[in-house]
Amino acid sequence: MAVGIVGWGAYIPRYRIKTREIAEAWGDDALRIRDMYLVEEKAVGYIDEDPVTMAVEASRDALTRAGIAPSEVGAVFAGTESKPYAVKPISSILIDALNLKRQVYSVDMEFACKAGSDAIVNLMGLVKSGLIKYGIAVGTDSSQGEPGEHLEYTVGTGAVAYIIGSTNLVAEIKHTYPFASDTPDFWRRDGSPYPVHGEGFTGEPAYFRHIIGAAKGLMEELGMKPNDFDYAIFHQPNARFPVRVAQMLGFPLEKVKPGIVVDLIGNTYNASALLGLAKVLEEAKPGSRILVVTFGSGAGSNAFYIETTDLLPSRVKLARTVGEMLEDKVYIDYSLYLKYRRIIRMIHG
Amino acid sequence: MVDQNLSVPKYWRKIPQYYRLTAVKCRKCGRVYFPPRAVCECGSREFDEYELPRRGKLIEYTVLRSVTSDFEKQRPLAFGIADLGGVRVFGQLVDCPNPDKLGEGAEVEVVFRRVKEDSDYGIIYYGFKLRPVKGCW
Amino acid sequence: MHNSALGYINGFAITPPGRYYDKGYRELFAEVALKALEAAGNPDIKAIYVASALSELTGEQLAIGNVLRDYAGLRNIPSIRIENGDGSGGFAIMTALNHLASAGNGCMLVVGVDKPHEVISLKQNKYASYLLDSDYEAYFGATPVALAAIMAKQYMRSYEYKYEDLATWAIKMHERGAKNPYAYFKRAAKLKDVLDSELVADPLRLYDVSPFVDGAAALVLCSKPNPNDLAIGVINYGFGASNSYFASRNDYTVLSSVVEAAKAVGPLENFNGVVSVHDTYSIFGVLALEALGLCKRGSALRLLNEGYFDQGGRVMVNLDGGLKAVGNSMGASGVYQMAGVVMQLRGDKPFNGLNAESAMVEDMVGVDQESVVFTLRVVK
Ligand SMILES: [Zn+2]
Repeated sequence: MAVGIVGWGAYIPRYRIKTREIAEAWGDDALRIRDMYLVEEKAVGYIDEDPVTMAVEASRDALTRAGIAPSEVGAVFAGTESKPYAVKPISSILIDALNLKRQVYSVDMEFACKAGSDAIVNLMGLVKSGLIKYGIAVGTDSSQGEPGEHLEYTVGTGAVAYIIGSTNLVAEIKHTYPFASDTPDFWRRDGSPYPVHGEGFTGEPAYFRHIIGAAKGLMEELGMKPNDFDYAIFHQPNARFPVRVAQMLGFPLEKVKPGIVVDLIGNTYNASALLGLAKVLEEAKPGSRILVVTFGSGAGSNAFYIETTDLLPSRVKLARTVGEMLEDKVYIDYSLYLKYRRIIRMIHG
Repeated sequence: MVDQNLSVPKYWRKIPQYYRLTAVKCRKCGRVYFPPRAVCECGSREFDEYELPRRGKLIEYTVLRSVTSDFEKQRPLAFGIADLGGVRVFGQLVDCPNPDKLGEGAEVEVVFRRVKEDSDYGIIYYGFKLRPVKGCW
Repeated sequence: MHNSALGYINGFAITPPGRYYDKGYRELFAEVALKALEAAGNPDIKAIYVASALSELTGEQLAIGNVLRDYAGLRNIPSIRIENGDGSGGFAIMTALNHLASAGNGCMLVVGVDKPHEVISLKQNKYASYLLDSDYEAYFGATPVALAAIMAKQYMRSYEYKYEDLATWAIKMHERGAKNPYAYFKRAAKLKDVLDSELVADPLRLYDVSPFVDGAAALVLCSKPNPNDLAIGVINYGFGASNSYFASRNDYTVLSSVVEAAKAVGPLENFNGVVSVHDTYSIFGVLALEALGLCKRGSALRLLNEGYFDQGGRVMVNLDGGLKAVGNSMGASGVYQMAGVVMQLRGDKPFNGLNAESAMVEDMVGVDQESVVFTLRVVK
């Protein structure tokens, strides 16, 4: 049974802040910051946006593109690491916001930035087993970056949703491959407002080892080489890492570039690589072969081999595109950024 | 126990309206009501649920600067009236820093947003808002 | 001619509106209730109607009647609290008149009392938002002024007025308040003051908004006039309502509930005398004049600017300065309006020399929810 993507939807908030603006506030060298991360600007959710609201927006567009009735959905899984409630699911809010039926498997998933892709893998299993017809996988985050700390330069805001099923596919997910280990490169303790990371330790032993492990494992199992793929999309904590991991794996720059969005919206965590995939789906021709490798700190990766179908091009314009949302922007200054992201410390929220 | 200042049931039972703009349509004459009503102008009391379209035209707006205690940190608040498929709906107007730049009948889309929250400990209230598709900056 | 009126106002009293940090609901109530009863010759009272919008919200008091009565020493008289937002006063008067009609004789005490200044302004705004549809308007953060602003915008656009035209309302009300010892704002305002004031909800500025005030006003309504005093009778009243959900009204340049109430009270085109309109916001004062049928739709602001509604004219509007200058005492405001026109009909200071024989009072709930319009006359 062929399983894959029936529809997709993305959401990027309208507000942006330039990394230069943040650097000026903290007295950092803006050019050096840009050189380190290659992130020009990042998306900032308005004061009333959170992973729930963005998940709803992305999922609505995904349903529109899939052209299916909400009642046909049998499962909704939300991957996030910035839940507005520590206890109370995003997925149940999605049920009512999307008008899904009550008989829906629903859960929020957490594995740093990887959970959204785990939602896809889990839904593939449910579809293959015949337990559900369609499922919605969401990756959504408006994660935290401590003011004045380097994460602040890259932490973005966004969401993406995929309808997984076995009929009317726009892209078939032909293979998956996981790679995970206990590697504490980045974490946020319970009750703590901001994550902590190991700087350089997030690189070789974490990001690169896991992505390469998953990508190589997948290609070995399939007997494929970088040449066999038209696109390669990797998790994007900044714009340097995905380019470098592509080089290490032997993918040329032109196959990686179309799936990079971090330079314009920042790292959207659970949406990151999957938003890159959404952008690629907007331009890919039928029969395109795509490698997607996600990464979540702590640490693990999921690699996907995806092949687009003839149905893809006709679905692109049915909803808001990543391309349009990247253009639809309003710049704000650092003070509005602090207000919108509710970073100003107040006695009462 | 943390004091709850806002009512959860009052919010919960309106979720179809707040999340999806679920209106009612008269079975007899076809009139659509948002918010829902118990009795139609035509006298009928039989309705079907009917979701309003999520795109429409802005009729009028204002920007409120003197807000209520629940919205102090969200001010100023822009409000608009939109025509959604012939039904007029009132809501917050968001993502529009300069609404005076909007043309007459500007296109708006219905979006899902946070409305307010009950301090740092209580429930978060979600609901629809109106967002100009383009043209307000 | 005793049968020509629904009731007579045999006594009244008002407290100068203000911020009474040193007085609560009971103190303000007792002050005006006792004065009004005394003015009416201390008649037997059949019932006390308490108009209050905020007694539980700012006074943290339900069943307020007995607390007020006990403090004022009024024994064995049933009390009925009337709550219909900032229209509570008018609706209490209407209910007391109905009671009078069913009783056939006797007197009723109507007291409007509210204390918005028990709480801070953000809370006042929140309680004002309760005047709207709680589930579908206030939920989203709307307050009455936001809807009034939308009406002002639509009205000004439809009839090609500039904001400067609307500012005249505030200027005239301040001018009248400056002469009224019972006004909260006793200072005249210039156009520049209005234009420089902060935007509350564009186009409405601070000067377009009536200020919240603590206040109390009382009336003694009787089936027969006081033989020792000028007989002022409530001749008729009319009620009207509009759609509760603002957006669904489609025409935002008319106060439909006032139109309906005016229709119910009878033809008013030829009315001459004093008029009191419920100008919570400047635009509501303007729109009320049109809704009452005192002028054509779209013409009120032009006529106001031409001085048509000033003292000395056929229709003299808000000679006390309206809610704009007297203040918005919420549930008490309608009783203040009624007391105001009684003073004007009596020619009490500072209204001496008016020689008006008829009066009209328009009280409205929230943003055109429900309205009641009264006509009064000096009965000879
Ligand atoms: Zn009907």
